[in-house]
Amino acid sequence: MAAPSVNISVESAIEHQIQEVRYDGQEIYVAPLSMSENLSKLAHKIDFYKDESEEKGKPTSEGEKESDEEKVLAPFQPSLWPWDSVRNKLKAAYTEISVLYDVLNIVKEKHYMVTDPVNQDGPELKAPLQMLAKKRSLVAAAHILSNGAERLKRVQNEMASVTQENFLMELLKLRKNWRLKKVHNTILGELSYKSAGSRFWQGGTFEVLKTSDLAAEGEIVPRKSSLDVIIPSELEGVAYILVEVKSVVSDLMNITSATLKMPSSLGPVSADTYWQLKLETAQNVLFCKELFAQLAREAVQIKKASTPHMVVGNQILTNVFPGVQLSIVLCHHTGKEKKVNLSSEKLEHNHVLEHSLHQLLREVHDRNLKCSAPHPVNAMLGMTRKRRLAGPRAMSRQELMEMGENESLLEQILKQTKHAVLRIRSMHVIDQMAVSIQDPQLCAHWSCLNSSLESSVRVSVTSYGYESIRTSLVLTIGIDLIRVVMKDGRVCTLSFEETELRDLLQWQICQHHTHSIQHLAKVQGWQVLSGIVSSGFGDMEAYGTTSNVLMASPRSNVIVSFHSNPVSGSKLWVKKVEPSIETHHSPAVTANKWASLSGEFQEVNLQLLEGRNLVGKIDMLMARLSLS
Amino acid sequence: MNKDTTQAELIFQSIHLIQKLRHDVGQVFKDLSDGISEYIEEPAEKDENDGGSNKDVSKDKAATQDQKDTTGPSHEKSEEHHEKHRAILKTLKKSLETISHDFSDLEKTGANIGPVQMFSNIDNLSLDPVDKNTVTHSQLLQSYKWTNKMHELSDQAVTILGQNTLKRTQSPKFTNVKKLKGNTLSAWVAPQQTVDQCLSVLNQDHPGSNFTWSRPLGGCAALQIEIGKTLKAVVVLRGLTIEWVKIKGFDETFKTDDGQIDIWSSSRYQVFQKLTHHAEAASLHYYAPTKPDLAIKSFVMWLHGFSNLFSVPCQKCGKYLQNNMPPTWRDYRNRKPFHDVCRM
Amino acid sequence: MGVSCVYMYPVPEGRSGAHVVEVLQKQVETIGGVKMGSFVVDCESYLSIMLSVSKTLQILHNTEYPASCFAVLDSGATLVADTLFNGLLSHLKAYYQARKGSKIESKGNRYQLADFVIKIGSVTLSGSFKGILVEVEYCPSVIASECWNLMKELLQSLIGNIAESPPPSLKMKMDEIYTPAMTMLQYLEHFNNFRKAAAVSQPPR
Repeated sequence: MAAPSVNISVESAIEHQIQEVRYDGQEIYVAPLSMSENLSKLAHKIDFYKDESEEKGKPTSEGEKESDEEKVLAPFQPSLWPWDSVRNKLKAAYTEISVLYDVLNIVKEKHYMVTDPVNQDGPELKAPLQMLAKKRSLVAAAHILSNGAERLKRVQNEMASVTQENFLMELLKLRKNWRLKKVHNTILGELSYKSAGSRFWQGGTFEVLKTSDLAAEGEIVPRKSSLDVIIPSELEGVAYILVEVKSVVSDLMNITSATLKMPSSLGPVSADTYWQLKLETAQNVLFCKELFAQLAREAVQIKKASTPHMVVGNQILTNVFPGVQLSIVLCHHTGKEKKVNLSSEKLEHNHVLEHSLHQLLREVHDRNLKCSAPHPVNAMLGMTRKRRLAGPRAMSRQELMEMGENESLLEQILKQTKHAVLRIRSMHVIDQMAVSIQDPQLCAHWSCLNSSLESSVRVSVTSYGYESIRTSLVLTIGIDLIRVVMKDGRVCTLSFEETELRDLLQWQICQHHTHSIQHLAKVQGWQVLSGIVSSGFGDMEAYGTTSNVLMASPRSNVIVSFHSNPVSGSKLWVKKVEPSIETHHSPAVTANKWASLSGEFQEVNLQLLEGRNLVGKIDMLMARLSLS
Repeated sequence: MNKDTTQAELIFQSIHLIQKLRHDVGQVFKDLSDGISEYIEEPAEKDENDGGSNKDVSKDKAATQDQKDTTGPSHEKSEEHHEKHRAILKTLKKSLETISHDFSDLEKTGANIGPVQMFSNIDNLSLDPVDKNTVTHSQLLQSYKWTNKMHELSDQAVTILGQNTLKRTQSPKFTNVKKLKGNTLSAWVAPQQTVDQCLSVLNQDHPGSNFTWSRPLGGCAALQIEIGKTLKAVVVLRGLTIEWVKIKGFDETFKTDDGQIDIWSSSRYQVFQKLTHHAEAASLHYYAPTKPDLAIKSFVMWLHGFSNLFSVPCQKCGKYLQNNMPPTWRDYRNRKPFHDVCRM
Repeated sequence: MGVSCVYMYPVPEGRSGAHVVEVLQKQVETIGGVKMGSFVVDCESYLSIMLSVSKTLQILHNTEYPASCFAVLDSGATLVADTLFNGLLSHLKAYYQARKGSKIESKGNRYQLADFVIKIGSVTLSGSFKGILVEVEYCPSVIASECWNLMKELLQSLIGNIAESPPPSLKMKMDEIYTPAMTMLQYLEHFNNFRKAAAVSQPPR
């Protein structure tokens, strides 16, 4: 009855004579016959159940004789007791259980017996036999594995061949990216941005179909996927928003250009494209439609613009600056239209502005969706956190007004366009001037950061060889004006006209000349008598004002006057206050008559002076004149 | 000059001696080729001549003349061959002696001529017979002297000008290249550690103001400065050069609603809009690409001058308000407050 | 938000309040002020009924802070709350009750002059004119002691020597960061003065 895993040998505390060795190696010792044990042994011999067993004819394990008697009685009773054998076996089992119970009890009460494990060596196996056994079991395992693999392969093959399975897989994939629902027997999907915050009226419901249904009709077309989607007809095709910034010669807006233009790269979607691509294109069509609808609505609503925005068919036209117009066209190509030959006209699509348009609408969506929960719960819905705290924080009227500001998409894109146009314009002006003007060098440093509405550039004017004299200014290019801050803190605000910037830069160059000369005067010990950066004195010029400087040599016998004007250029006059006795031959003074100059100022031909640039020439002249 | 002339005389003398030597040698060879027949009566006369013409060059010349005169009557005593032979040998001996004498003379004068300065190849020019008539050599010599002098003077000028602080350029072409090497471009590409270090030093230097900086877009540090309880400024740095300045009031913020830094929006107050313009101008003034840390330091110092924006009167007019504005200008040098219209 | 100073401008004998207000407005316009709407500051008193010693709770509103409601206790403790606080007060009828005819308000034009906001308000207590309050706010600054001299210059050009020293309730808090509640306390002080004056001048009723 011992469990096969744990072998318990019951033995007496003091080793004694072995009574029995079982087949599993268990040894049963004869208990030492102490007084109490003897008593118990003797007690065991007493049959306590004798009376009962006699009545029922039940044998005990100990009473061998009684069982013999029963055997004698047995032939008489088989007909009477059909369950006799069963009963006997149960009885025997019962007896054994009882004995086991007693043994266990004795073992448990450690007064009489102590059990301890006997280590026994496992049965020694012969090596070849063992190997054979292992081999056999391995073969069995391999067989099971290969069987399984076979089955998997078969399943795989089935999956590939049976469209039903494939369809479900595809559906699962579709479900991961798109919203689907089941209505009766059809599966409907939603591709609109409504769940992402869009409030556009047009829905984007599509139907999911199994291609095997179609194939059953007759023609067998090898398809890439077993799932197909049916997109509503109004969302078919390809669409995009064409943003163009055009400079028009006349003020007349070119309405005829609102024809459909489709770049070759964006062809129509063929019928058997993968559903993912199909859905994405349809979603894009919907998005573009929403964007255009929004812009068109705003264009009609906004009345405050100086020139009204025009909405013609699929085109919105607005004036950015005089002569520059922005056109936003919804290009929706369904593939059914007639082919329009576009090769003659080049598309001037502004990708940056298109991107910002998309971004703006997405921001609107995001704002629609992101609505913080009311706090406290009975408060108004849709208040932002900032607005909620406005009361307790006692926000002023102005701050609240700023918070409530909400600009329309069209206004925002118009601002961005204005800035973009203005930025490119000023970039052109500065670059052109830097290339064309050699004498003072123009150097523009564009800021590494700029927003869509503001950017800044630092322009510095230097002369070659005199780099420590620097005239620098910051241009902050805003939406439709340029703010110029000069080194001395003066601020100029320029409009969008590029000539204004050009004039200003030219004026700055003139100022640079006079500044450099004043600086030279400091270095060479001359005395600056007057320095005016923009004097009204002088001849009438087409534009710009003259900068002039007047200075005296250290010995104050020579006076030099310098004028710089953006139109008439730079001029230099020299005057000798007292005629000097000694004659000199300066390379700058070409004739002897200059030596005895007196009274009137005489003009010096700057072009004939030696030197790399204007400042260098004057530097040299001053150096020479300070000695005379 | 005097020395030069004596030199020239000596040279002239030695040239003369050389001529004489050549003549004497020529005479010896001539005598030898003539043989016995022509020399009869010579020895006696020769003896006399030789005795007298040893020292003086001019007499020597006369002696040779005499010799030619005496060649005429040589046939008169032709019998005495032995005598003749002896005489010829004697004459030869005499003339050889003259040669050696003249040669030693030449050597003596030659030794007196001072060594001529070496002008490398230019010396050879003088030897060229074609150029003898041109003046190239002397001109070259003169220009050489000029350049030498100019070099000396320009060296002195450099040292004097080097002490002059009013330089006209910082271009490396005109200044010491070695000095500028290494920090020419550092203003724009200063590593972040350098910028951080510079800014933390600034933070310590100005206890009244609070500096924080972040890099929202990577490389460019956006520095936020709070000056007292008066104003807040944001300064965008590219490396260590100032790119963008914005000033706002103390109660305004540089954060957008979603907590990101906003460097674009302007202050709603006119005072700070004006200050922003002034700060932009100051960023142009405090611009030193060679010393970027100094530039930013002085800019921050200047900005710090606005801590008393509302509490000090204008230095010029003595008033607080002008056009309803406080003195919004601080002088670049001494940071004294002025109104925008009072500073000129 | 900026530092505000509120002063009472006395109405000379024999001249109507409206006339004085008009003169002041003209003066502001001559120094360059631009009219930007109007403003109202109102104040209502609530008396506690339950307590043995009656305490007052003043509720003020200011159109400059349209989203807020200011509640001030006798001690000067101020609560700045949402406008929903008004609704809450109607629920507290059992504890605080509005005093009849205590509603006092200052109403007038609001002028903007660079960064200054100038408000000239005529004070009415239960419908009758009581006096003139002039408020000058300098928005960019938040510390009263810093910009006091600057404000004094403008104030004196406007209302003369009345603005010799900062308003008494502001004097203690010159170096603190200015809050809108401080403006309301100044108004409250003036309103209380007007109320007292009204009580003295009309004792029989």
